[in-house]
Amino acid sequence: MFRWSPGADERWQEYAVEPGADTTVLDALVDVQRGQDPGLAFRYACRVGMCGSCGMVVNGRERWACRTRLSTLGRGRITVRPLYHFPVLRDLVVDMAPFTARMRAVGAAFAPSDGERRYARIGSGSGERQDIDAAIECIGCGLCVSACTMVAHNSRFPGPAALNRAFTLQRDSRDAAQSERWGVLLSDDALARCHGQGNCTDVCPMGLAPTRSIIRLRQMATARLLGVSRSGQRSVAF
Amino acid sequence: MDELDLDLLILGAGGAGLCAALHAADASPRLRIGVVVKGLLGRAGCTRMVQGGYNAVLTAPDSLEAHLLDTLKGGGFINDQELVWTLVTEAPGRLLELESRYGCLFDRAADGHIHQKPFAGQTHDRTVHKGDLTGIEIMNRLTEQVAARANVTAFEECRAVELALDPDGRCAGALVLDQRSGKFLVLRARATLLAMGGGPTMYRIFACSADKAADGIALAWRAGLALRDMEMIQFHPTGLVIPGSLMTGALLEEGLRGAGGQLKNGLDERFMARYDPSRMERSTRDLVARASFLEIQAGRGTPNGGVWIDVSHLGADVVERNFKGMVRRCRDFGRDLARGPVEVGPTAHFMMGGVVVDPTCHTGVEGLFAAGEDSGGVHGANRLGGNGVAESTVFGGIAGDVMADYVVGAPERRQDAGGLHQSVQDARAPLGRSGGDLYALQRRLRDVMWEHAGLVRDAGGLTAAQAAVEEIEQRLDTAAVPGGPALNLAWQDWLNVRSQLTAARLIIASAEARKESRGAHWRDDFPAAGREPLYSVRVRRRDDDLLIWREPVALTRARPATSEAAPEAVEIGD
Repeated sequence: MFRWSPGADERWQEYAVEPGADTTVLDALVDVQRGQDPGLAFRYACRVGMCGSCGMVVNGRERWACRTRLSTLGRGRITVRPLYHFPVLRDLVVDMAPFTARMRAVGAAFAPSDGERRYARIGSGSGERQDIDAAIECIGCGLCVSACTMVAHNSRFPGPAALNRAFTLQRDSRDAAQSERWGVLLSDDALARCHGQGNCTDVCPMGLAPTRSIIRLRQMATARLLGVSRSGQRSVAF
Repeated sequence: MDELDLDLLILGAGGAGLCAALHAADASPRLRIGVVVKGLLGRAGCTRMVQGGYNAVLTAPDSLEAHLLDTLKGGGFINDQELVWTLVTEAPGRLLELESRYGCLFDRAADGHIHQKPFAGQTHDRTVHKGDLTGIEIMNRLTEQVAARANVTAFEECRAVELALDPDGRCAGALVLDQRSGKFLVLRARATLLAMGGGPTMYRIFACSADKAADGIALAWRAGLALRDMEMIQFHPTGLVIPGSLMTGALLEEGLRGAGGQLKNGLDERFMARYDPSRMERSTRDLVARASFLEIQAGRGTPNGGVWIDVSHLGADVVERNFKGMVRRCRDFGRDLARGPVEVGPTAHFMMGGVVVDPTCHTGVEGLFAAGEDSGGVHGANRLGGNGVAESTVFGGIAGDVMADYVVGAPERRQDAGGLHQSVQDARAPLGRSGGDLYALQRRLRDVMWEHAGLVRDAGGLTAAQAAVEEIEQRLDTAAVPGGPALNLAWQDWLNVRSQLTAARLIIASAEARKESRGAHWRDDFPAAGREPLYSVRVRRRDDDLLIWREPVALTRARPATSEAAPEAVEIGD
């Protein structure tokens, strides 16, 4: 287990736990904190895979601690360290502020249009709806940001979660800030910088594919530039 | 101690807290608004965990009157009818606001209109949803909006430990503990909202977010507010049983039973035949939960102390297609819901009771408002599925509007931080102390509440529970909390247990005072519903003692049919 607190050197500390068949990484952490080392710091809230608070790197891979059973990790020693690319506050607890900042940087908040408030008619089978559905259920856990190599390389790169959210907004016919958002997305530091390694997609616990969202955004931008009218629709192949 | 002046202080950041923040922020960009959240902004609490959806009347033949009546029947008619009327009349507008202003995109039918699904206990298809993760959609969108408002400051991983009252008894803000630094600060405000979301985590098995500890209830109690119907705890019948894991209690959705899922005890009997032979597993939630509890108590449970739910006879492909999320939830723990039985059991889900409020979220303390699960009266003795997130967003928004108005011209509060020193000392007392095992105390509290103040209650059990709680309270004073103040989980858990104990005392006393069975409250020694007049159980602090009384229910909008004075139990989603 990775240990660090302000003023101290970072270190690795070993704990022995006797897991049952269903013991999760989070259960083991709670066990250690309650029984062996009360000073161990980690973060969780809902504990059932909905709040995105307990992301960490387990055996070299980003995972949600609450839904990862030790028995799925093979035998022997298990390493646990905090997410990459976030400032560590203590032990396994990271400061998630950069995640929020990245979201804000791409304008990841819906902008309502003026005029009468009513429910937009968007068919359940429409391309818009299906594109948004495939990308919308983000729990904000930050695993994708930790797994992204470009985030480490370029601090201005918004990262997969923010770009994924931007995609759902650019596909949302109700949103009124798409032009401004394109300005950010098409800057040197955003869409252009993704190398398509797919690490984000590999680790997403919700099965989302930020890589696909980024590709779709590039496709939409190109179609927009070329004046292709069916820019946002699924019928445009890639 | 650091002090900070705000105009509005919002304690809690679920659906209620964030809607309040947005409404106030948009009422005036000049207002300084602080939001205190126990975890990370947008990720703490239970709004996020909503699967089912949001009840709102959108089209005929559904009507506001029908929503009102469904809610009252579900609540055993002890709801505050003016609160319910506010809920049903405001819900359509709030839902539209969530969509058109904050950016939620709820599920549509093929023709593009909003899709509303049936939820049992409701006379029309009324429940708006986003797949089976409605709460994530709502909370993500609200959080983005809050983050985009310059006049809202989030105090993340902070928790309120005391309400600050000024010398005239008005609320002047709150004493807040920053869990990261371990430092206390006073957030002074002219209007304060209590929206910390209840949370029955004082039971052995619970479904709600594990960061909850009924802190808001404890704060309200210490500040002398009146609380109502604290005995009304909703138990959901199908929480996962995962031995030794925190995952225990996580919900498997009710649709499984609706689709034909069978419940069997450890002897492979479909035990619902003994409790409700006509409706079997499709019986009402409170009845199924209680029946499961009784089977388990009688020694007819599964090896891990639950019952079996089996949907495999529907066909694996059907189950995997229709219950994708549930199949995945089980599969992560090696259970195959599509191909065999899975162990489940009753799980504590929601507190119907809470602070007494009026339809504009005013409490009995000047300058203090309450909304969401911390408040009581909307749901009466039982909450309908889909009414929870409607309540929190409707009343949160109202509170934001009302508070923004209220602070105009209201004098700055002159609360002196000195008055809160005792509260700081009390909260810091255990820090660095060696002594008894804190977690053993919490386990004992949860066991006692489960056994004696849970699904089945009687006078003897409640007396025993009260004695146990008093004993645990005493031992909490000497429990060990090693380590320093910053990011100390044990210290936070000590504070959690303190709040849980306070709420437990109120639950037990109120359960003792309600000598009838109604809705979620079952008394083995009073198994029938009482005769009219209907009443609400009220409790408040008097010095260090507990003042408890009955308040008649004002039937301002609807009366139960004579036969309906009995608990009208209903099916409930989340």
